[in-house]
Amino acid sequence: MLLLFLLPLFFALLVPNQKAAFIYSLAPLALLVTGHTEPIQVDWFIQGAIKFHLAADNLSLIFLYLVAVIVPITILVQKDKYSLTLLLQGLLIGFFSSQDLLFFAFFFEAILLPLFFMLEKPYKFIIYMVAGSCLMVAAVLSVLFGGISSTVVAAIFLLAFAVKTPLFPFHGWLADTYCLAPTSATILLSSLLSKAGIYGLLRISYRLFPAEMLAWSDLLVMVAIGGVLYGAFAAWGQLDYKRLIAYSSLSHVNFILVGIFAGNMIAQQGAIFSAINHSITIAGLFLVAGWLEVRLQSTNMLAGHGLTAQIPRLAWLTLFFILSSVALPGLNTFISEIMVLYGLFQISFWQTLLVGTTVVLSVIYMLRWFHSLYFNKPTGGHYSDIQTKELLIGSPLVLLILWFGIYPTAILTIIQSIK
Amino acid sequence: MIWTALFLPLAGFLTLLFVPFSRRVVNIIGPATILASFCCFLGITEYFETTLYTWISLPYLRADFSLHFDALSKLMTLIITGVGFLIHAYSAGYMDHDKDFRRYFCVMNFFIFSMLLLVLAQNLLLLFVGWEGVGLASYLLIGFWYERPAAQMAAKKAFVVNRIGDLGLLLAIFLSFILFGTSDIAAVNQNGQAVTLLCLLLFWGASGKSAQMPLHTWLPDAMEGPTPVSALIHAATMVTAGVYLVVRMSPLFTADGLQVVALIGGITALYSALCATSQTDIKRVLAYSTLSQLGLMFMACGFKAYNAAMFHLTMHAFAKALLFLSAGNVIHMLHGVQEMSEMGGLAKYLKKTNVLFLIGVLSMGGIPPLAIFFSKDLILEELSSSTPYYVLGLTVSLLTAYYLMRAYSLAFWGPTRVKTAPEEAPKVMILPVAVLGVLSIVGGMWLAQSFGFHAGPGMWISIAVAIGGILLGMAYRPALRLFYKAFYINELYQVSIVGPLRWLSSLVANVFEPTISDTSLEMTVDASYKTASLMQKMQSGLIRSYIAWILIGTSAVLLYLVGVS
Amino acid sequence: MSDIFAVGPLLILFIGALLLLLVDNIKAVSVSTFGALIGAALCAVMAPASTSTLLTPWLAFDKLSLFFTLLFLGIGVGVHLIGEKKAEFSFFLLSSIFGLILIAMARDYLTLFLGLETLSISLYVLCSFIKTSPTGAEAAFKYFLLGSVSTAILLFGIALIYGATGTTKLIMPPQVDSLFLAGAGLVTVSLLFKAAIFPFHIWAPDVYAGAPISVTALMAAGTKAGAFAAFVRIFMMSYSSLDQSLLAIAIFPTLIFANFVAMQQTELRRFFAYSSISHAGFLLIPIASGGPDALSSMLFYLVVYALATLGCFACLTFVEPTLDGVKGLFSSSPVLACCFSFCLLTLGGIPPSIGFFAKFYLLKAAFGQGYIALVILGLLTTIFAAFYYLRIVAALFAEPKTAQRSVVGGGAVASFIATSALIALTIYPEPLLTILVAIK
Repeated sequence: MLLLFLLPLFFALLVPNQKAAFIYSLAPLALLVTGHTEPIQVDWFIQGAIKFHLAADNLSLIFLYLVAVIVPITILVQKDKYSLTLLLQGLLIGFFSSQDLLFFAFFFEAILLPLFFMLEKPYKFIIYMVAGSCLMVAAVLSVLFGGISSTVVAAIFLLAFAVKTPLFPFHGWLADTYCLAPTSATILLSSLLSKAGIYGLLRISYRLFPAEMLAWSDLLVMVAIGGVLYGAFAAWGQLDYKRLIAYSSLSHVNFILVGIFAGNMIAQQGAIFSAINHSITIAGLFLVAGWLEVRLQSTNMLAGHGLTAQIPRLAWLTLFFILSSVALPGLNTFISEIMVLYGLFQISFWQTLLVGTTVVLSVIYMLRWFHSLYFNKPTGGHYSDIQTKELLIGSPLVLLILWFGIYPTAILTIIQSIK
Repeated sequence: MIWTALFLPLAGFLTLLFVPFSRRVVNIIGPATILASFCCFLGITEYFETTLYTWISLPYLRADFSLHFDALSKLMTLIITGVGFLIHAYSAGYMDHDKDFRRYFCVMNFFIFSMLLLVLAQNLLLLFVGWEGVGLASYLLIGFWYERPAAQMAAKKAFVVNRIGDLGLLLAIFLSFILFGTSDIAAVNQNGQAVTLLCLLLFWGASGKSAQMPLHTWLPDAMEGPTPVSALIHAATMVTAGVYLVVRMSPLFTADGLQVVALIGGITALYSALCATSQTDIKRVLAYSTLSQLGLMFMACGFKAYNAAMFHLTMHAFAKALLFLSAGNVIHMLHGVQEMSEMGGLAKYLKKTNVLFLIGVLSMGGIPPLAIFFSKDLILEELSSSTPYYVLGLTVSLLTAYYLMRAYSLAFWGPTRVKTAPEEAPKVMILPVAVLGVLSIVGGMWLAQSFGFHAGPGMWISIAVAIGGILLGMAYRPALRLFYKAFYINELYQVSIVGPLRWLSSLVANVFEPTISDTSLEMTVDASYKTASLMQKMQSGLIRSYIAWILIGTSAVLLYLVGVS
Repeated sequence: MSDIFAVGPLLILFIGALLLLLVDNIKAVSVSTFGALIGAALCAVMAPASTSTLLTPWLAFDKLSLFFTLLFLGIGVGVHLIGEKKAEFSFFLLSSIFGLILIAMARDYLTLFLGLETLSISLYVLCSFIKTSPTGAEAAFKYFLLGSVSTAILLFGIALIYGATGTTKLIMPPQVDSLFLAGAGLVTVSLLFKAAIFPFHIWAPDVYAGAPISVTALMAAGTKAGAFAAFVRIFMMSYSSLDQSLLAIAIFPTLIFANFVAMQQTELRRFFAYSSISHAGFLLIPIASGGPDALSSMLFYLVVYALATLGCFACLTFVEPTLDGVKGLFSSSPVLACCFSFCLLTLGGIPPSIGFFAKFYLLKAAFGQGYIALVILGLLTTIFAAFYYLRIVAALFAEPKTAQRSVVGGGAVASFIATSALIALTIYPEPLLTILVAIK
């Protein structure tokens, strides 16, 4: 485990170029696949009150795999600052495997640092995030001391995670940050950082404060449902397709939160699976959006029409990821979506119906984007299609989407063994 | 064997997707897979169930990739692959000018695969996979000519409206799991007490796919796709999926549920028949006709006349495909003309197509001994137990005969309004249609016994109505704006649903979002800077003020210490 | 004999300072200064505690003195590396270190006073060391005037305490009357002045901005540490039963004021002045709250703070100390920029630096004593502060505006050592902590 954590950090120090960075970033995947995940525990501070304890149970393992797969893909579309990505990889590994509350909070804050440097205008992002992190520290302090009532502490933790995920209405930083960042940073943010909040909820809020979370379940589910619909409507009204995907991500992440807050086992298992699927799908969406942006030199949806004739491969690939995003059966998100919906169905028919409208809304805004650019009478311009290299970059995501959709037994077994 | 039959079209889809064959090869591979599949299905003689693997292994949402084959399945698969093959073969000719032929056959094959999966699925979750799959294929094919604005809008509309229906089916599946612990169709049907909510949800799903009101608006627009697509998907197969679902899950339907089915079917049938009387585009006439016939099928289901519904489904598949393909001939040979106002007097140019189209009109109109007569009469007989519905059925029959004859005479008789004289369609486009023509003639007589048709007194009323309609159609053909505009329902949806929702989305995107993300933050940052500037003033640079501060502080400290203690 | 060893550090510094007045060339100066500092350190470590009745009433020879002695000597080394290698400079540097050590070892108010004054006067001179700088002269003058006011208050306070208790020893009187309290209050005021707590911080921004960078470093690290050494001696060791709520009240405006105004600063020395005011506020928290962990958490924070401050100032010697001046430092000297960033992050308390843990430890100790409002304020101001620390870090990695000088010399070494020490602490702080906890 120590190796898994330290290797990316060490590689980051070497300041590698893209090729080297890509190979280095595969190291965690190699380690995970070969099973190098024994825990490590070392007394670190205040004579053992705080330990440096990393371990990987099934819940952590899933997210570790996610980190191991997404980061190499990100590096391949990155232009510079590879060591930052490797640093982030190491810190994320630390975060998802941390078993000590203080280190959990530490990593929770630390992840922001490399991201701060990768974004262009990071201030909005940082203010929200550091606020969340300080809330975390306060919450951790309260836990270590037990002076404050558990309701207040649970609320603080919830707030901290809500800002990171983000739960509506704490999403103010989302749209600008996603849009103004380079593609690689956006993928890291949407694919991995949002999962930090979700993991935190599962690992901390529901393990340490189950009674409080259950008591708030109704309210939280309604807020999350609000977030799903809000994100969908916001996406529908966009003219900029990167912002559209950002709001779509908001909608999906709030959907995951619906599953978590619903509280029952089915919904939460669905939420975990949804989280993984979302990471894969959103990475794919931002990939194709990035490639499109390179060609159009703009993120405006009115910047061109009828592009399919010139860039058919990109069109097909985009359509594939869109179908994954709208949960077409046979693809990964369908199964996770029905798990969450079914879990919610056990609680309330009407809430399920309400959230279920996302099935229709997601199609509306996604197809609006797709048709606006790829369909309709072509307007001039000359665009080059994506080459084999880009297809290869996207293929791991495509394969995962198909694998989880058609033969999900493997991943379902892991998820079912959690808790 | 059944697996081969199922996966052949999928193999065709994948092959055509990745390998860039030439036109000749594609024209062969496309239909060939379907033909092979048809032969396989023909060869299956027993009824059974079989499982390939466990798809969803969750204990609470269990679903295996399992197929179930019985009489209903056999009927559906033969229709799908049989008519499908004929239409594939026809397409080779229809798409001969189009450079995207590979994509066309690719998606068509995918469609057949999904449709087969739908009718063969043993549990509702797997059925749902096929259900959405055909929705996807329909979307891709309606928008096949994506550069046409009307086509891509129609495709989007179809997908969205379909999805609304899919939500209903999904909820039905959940309910099934909660009530029965499984979505296995056989288990549910045997086990199930009929549950009104469940069957209503199922019917909601069926309405989406089979374009019953109020989810019917996508079907007329779907005519933007190539005509063979309209024939296959929007006449013979996909739209019948809803009927299949209702028939398949029939044990679950309560009396209340059946009432709803019959009512909606009836309203749709009457509504679309009226609309069809005033259309100017030949494909739209056929589209509304399909809607109407589907309504009839659902009415039959509502009266528990499932045999009659399936009979009509089969006959309709033949006749409607025949009509669509014949229309396709006209459109193709006239180089894209679909408005009947630009046709006329085609009988002397397109001799064979003329005959074929006429056969279709007469059959659909209900003239014995052509095919549809038998199925329609069976339905009418089942409806006779309830007078309002019976009258409704007769009215629809009358209108059907009328508008079809009207369309025929507008296109094929009378003075020619065509610019250039068209030639007859090539053989590859005549032969499949001819086969359908034969089926539309003898199909009824051939299958009447199996579906339980028996001659009765009502038969004569049906015949009288049919002949009456035909005669009217030959003579009198005004167009009413209300019907032409389909009772302005599209506009109504636009104003009452789509418009407000769009406004809401724009509100969220352009008003709420900037406020939440920008304004609140800006205000905070501004406030901070102002406070900081204020505080900075303390640092005046003058020593006297510094000393003053020190003295003030000292006095405060002393006061505090001495005062407090 | 062993007594001489016990006061060895002081003696070595004293003699070394005097000797320096005789020496002239740079190499000799450097060698002598280093020699004096290192020698004093070795002596401090090896020497036994003295029990001579001549010394013990005045000087304390306990673990706390040892800690502070080493800390101050380390700061001295750092400042020497950064600063001018001139004889007079080193003289005053060694004198100020001498004063600082006296403060740390003080058992009596007179010793305390002696140490404070030695420190202050040396600093007054050092501020104006660059003769051609008008701001330096202004800084020195302001410091002198205001420092004299503070000294006057201190003396008055000591006098009142003498009047109330009959002795100048640093021990708790049997009964606490208002005379004693008044005296204690005045002494506190003068210490608050040295530590730069609101509203007595007012000299700091101007003086820090005007003085040469190495001197500012000495003030920021050394004087601050010295003031808190005095706080520890007085409030934690001697007057531990006295009510510290006054101090707690002073912390609120300090933190708020310092963090808000720092936001607007583009001149970096002034910025660090406000930053150090803020840190002084944090350091006051354990003194105000007390408790078992208070001393070790404060000392730990002090070490981290001193290292980080020295590191930052070391880097500042190579650039024009403004926000524009540091822009793009990364492109000309990446190692230096990284050191600077790490030191800045430590000061800001931003993970993954040790500064985060130091703040956490400190706040935890306060939280445990029930000072929840202080903790919340501390957290909020940290969030706020993160913004402007990160702004500087971001500037380092931005595109360069002006051409950079090449980076060689002692400053770089100092910075590098400081950063390495911080990194070492980040990875494994346990040894230092064990030592600190043992100090009681």
